[in-house]
Amino acid sequence: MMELFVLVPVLLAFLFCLIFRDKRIRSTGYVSVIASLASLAMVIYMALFLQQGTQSIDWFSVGGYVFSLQVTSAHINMMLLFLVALISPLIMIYSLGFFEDVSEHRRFYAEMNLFAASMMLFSISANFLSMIIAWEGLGITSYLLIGFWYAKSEAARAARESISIIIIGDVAMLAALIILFNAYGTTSFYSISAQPISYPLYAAFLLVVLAVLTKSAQFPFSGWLPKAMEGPTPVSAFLHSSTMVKAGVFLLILFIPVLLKLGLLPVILLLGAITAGIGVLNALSGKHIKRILAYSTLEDLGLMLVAVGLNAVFAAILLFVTQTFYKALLFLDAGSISRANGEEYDITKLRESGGNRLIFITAVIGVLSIAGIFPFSGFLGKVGLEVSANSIYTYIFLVLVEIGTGFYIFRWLFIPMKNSGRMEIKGKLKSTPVSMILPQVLLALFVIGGISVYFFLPSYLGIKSLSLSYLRVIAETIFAIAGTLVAYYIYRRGQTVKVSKGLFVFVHSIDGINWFYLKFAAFIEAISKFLGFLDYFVYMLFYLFGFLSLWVGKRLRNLVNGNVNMYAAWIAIGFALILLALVFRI
Amino acid sequence: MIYQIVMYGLPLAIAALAIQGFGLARRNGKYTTLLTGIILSAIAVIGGLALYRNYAFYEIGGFGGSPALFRVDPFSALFVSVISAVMVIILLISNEEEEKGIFNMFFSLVAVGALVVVLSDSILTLMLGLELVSASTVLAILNGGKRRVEAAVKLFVVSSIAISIFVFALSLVMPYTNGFTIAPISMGGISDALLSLSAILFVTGLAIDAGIVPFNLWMADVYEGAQGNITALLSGVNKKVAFIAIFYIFFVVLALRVSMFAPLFEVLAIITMFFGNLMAMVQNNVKRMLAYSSISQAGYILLGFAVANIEGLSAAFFQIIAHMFMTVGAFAVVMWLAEKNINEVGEYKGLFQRNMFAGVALTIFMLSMAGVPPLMGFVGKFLLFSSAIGTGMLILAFAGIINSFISIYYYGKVIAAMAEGTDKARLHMRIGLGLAIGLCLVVIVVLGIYPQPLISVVHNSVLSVFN
Repeated sequence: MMELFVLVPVLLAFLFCLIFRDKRIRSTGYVSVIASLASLAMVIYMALFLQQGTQSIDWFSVGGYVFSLQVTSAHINMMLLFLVALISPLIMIYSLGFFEDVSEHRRFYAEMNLFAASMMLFSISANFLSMIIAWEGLGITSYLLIGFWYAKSEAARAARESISIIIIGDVAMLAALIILFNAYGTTSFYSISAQPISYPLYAAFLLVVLAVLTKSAQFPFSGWLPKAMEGPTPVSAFLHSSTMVKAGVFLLILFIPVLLKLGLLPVILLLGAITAGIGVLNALSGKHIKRILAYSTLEDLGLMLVAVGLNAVFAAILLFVTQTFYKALLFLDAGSISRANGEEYDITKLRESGGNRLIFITAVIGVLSIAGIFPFSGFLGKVGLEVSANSIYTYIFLVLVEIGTGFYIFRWLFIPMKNSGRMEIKGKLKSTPVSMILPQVLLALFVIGGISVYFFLPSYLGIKSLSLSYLRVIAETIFAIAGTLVAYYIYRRGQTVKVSKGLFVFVHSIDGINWFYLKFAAFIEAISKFLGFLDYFVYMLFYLFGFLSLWVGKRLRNLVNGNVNMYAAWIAIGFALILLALVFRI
Repeated sequence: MIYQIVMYGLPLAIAALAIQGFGLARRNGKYTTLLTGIILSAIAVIGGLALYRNYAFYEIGGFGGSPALFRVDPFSALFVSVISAVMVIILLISNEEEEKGIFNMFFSLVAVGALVVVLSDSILTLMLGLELVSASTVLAILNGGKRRVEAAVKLFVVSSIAISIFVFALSLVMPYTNGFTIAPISMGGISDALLSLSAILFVTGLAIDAGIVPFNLWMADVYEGAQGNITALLSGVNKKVAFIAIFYIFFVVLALRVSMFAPLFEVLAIITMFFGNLMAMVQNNVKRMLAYSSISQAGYILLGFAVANIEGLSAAFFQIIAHMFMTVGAFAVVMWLAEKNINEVGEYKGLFQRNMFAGVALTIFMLSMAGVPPLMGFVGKFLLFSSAIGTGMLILAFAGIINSFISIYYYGKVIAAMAEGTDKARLHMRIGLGLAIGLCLVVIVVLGIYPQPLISVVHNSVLSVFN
C-alpha cells in the first residue's frame, strides 16, 4: 500500500492542471515541480526504511474470480522507481524554461504528470493486472506528448505512427494477461515465474516479448522512436530515452529466469543485436541533432536486450541505470543547443555551445560517458557487456558497436563545434535560462557519480557482481578512443557529409532495412484492407439495426399519448396477458 | 453504545422526520430545509453504523404479542443509509423558492415512507410505506403550482390503482401469512391457482411504481411534467423503493415459489429494456429521454431479479444503488438547464463551452448509464450480465447487451450536441446544485474504479435477508 502513496502528489498535480484553467497557468509548472519533488522525497524514504515485500489489493471479484492489484517494494523495483522519481523533477524544472509560450504549460504538465504517475505505477507493480494499467498509461501519454505540437503535421503523423505500433504491443500484452490468468488463476510476477514450462506459459511469453519489442522500439518495430523526436525535447529526454522505452527492457530483466527456461533468450539476443546495428548505422549518417540521439537510444536498448539475451543480469542493470543519466543529459543538451539557435535541429547549421559554456561542458561529459571512456559511468555498461560476451562473434559485434558509438557521438559533438567558426551561420544566439542549465549540471554530476552504482548495486539487489580485470577496462577504453579518433580526424576541419560518401559505404544498407519495413507495412495494410472490407458489412449490420430500432421506436411512440385512461387500460391489458400466459402454461 | 444508538436513535430520528413532516412546517419556514437535511444525514449515519456493526437481526414494534412491524438487518441498514444520503442530495438540488416549508413537509414524508418500506417486517407496514411515498409525492408535485396539476393527477390515478391492486393481492394470501410478517408463507393448504393469481396481482401493483412494461406508460408524462427535483426523487427513490418491495414480496414472502415467477420476470425484463431504450431513441426532450432511460434501467435491474440467485440479486441491488446516484446527478443537471429554458437536445449545443462542469458531469452520468468503464454503471451491468451468463440465461444477457448498444445512440446524441461548440454566454450554477452534482460524480467515479467494498457489502446484506 505504502508504495502507492508515491503516486499521490503527481496525480494531485495532474488534477490541479486539469481543474485550474484561466489565471493559474504559470503555477501549473511550479506545482508539478513541487509534486515531483514530494514524490522523490517519499521514494527516498521508502528506499531507506521500507522492507522488501509484496502487497495485494483486491480490486474486484466476480463469479469466483478475484482481480487484485499487486505492488511491491522489492529492491529492483525500488531502483526503477528511484530513477524515475529522480529524473522527473529535473525534467519538470527544465520544461519551465523550455516552453516560452506559457499557454502550453497546462496541457504539457497535465500530460507529464500523468506519465510520471503511470511510470511510477509501472515501477512498483508486481502483477500483470496492475502492470497493464501502467503500460496503457505509458502508451497513451507517449502518444499525447509526441503529438504535443499537433498543429505540425509531422508531429501528428509521428504520434499516430507510434500509437499504431504501440497498440500492437498493448493487445499482445492483454492477450498474455488473459492467457496467464486463465491458465494459472493469478497474474503475479512471482508465482508465474515459478510455473513449470507449459504451452500457455510459452504462448504468453511470446506475446510479452512482442509487447516489449513494440514498447522498447526493437526490430522490427523500431521505426517509431526516431520519428517520436517531433515531440518537445523534455519529452524526448524523459519518455523516449530514459524511462518509458525502457519499461519493456525492465520487464525482460524481471523475467530472465522464465525466458531462460523457455529458451527465448537467443531470440532476444538476436533482435537486440539487429536493433543495435540499425541504431549505430543510422546514427552515423544522421543530421538531425535529436534523431541521432534517438538512434543512439535504439542502440542502447538493443544492447540491453543483448545483455538480457546473454543472461547477464548485472550488465543489463548497469547499462539500464547509467544510460538513464547520460541519455537524459544529452537530450537536454540537444534541446538547449537547438533552442539557443532558434529551433534549428540540423547539426550542420548549429553552434555547439548555445552561448553558454555549461551546456558545452555537460555535453562533453555526456558524450564521454556514452562513448564508454573511463571513468564516466557509461563505461560500466559497455565493459559489463563485453565481459559477459559468450562467444567471439558476440565480442566482435560489441567491439564494432563500441567503436561506432565513439565515432557517431563525437561526430555529433564535433560538427556543431566546428560550425562556430563558419561564416554563413552567424546569427544572434538566444540566452538559456537557469531553469534549463540547472538540470543539465545536476545530470552531469549524476553521470560522473554514477560510477558508484557498480559498488553498491550488487549487494542492494542481491545479484552476482562482475569481475572486471584491468585488461578488460583498458581494452574497452582503447576501443572507445579509437572511434573518437576516427571521428576527430574526419571532422577536424569541419567537413560534415563525408561519412556517407567516403569511409562508410555500408551505411546505405539502411535503405535495405527500410525496404523491409515498407514491404512489411504493405503486407499489414493488405490485411487491414481486407478487414476493413469485412468491417463494412458489420457496419451495415449495425446501420440496419439502428434504422430498425428507430423505426420501431417511432411506432411505439404512439402508445404514450398523454391520455391517462389509456395508461390504466394498458395496466389491465398487461395483467390479463400475464394471467393468460400463466393459465395456458399450467 | 452503537447498539443503543441504532436501537433508539433510528426510530427517534424517523419520528422526528415524521413530526417535521406533519406538524412543524410553515409556509415560509426557511429552517425546515436545514432541519430535514440534518435529520436525514443523521439517519444516513445511523444506518452506516448499523451496517458497520453488522447486526444480524432485531425487531421493533410488536405490541402485546403481535408480530413485529420493523426490523433492522444489514440489508435494511444499507438501504436506510443509501436512501437517506440520496435524499440529502435531492434536498440540495431543490430550489423551489415559493412555499419552501410545504415542500419540505412532503419531502420528509416521502423519506419516512421510503424508510418504512425498507425497514418493514410486516406486509402492512410495507403497504403503508408505499402509500405514504406515492401520496406525498403527488402532493409535492401539486405544490409546484397549476402547471404541475396534470402530472400530479396522473400519478395519483395510477398510484391509487397500484395500491388497490396490491391490497387485493394481499387479501388473497393473507390467511396463509403469519400475521402479515415478511417471512415465507406456509405452503400447506394454499392452492396453486390462488397463489399464482395473488403473485400476478402483486407484480401488477408493484410494477406500476417500479416502471415495468406495460404498467409504466404514465412514467414519461409524470417525469416530464413534475419539477426537476421531484423527477429525481421519482426516479431515484420511489422506483427503487418499489423494487425493494418486490424483493421482499417475491424473494421472502413467496420465496418457496420463486422458480415459478422467475420466467415472468425474465420476459418482463427483456420487454422493459427494449421498450425503454427504443422509446428513448426517438425523444427530443432530454428530460423525457432520461425518463425512458430510467425505464430501461428498471429492465436491467429486473434482469438481476430474473436470475433469482444471490449473485443476480446482489448485482441488481448494486445497480439500484448505482442508478440512484446516476439518475439524481443527471436529473440535477437537466433540471438546472430547464430553469434556463433549455429542454431539447438541440438546445444543449455548446454546453461544454457554456459550463464545462455541467457538461462533463452530464457526460459522465450518461456514460455511466450506458455502461462505460470505469464508471459505476459499468460495474453494475457487468455484474448483472455475468450473473445471467453464470446461470445459463444467455438470452437475457444477450438482450441486455443489445440494449446497451441501443442506449449508446441516445446518450451519444446528447453528448455530441453538447460538444458542438457555439460561443454563447456562460451559464452559472448555484453552489448547492454544484455540490450535489459533485457528490454524485465522486460516488460514481470512485465506486466505479474501486467497487469491491460496495460489492461485498451488498452481497453480504442480501445474504443476511435469507439467513
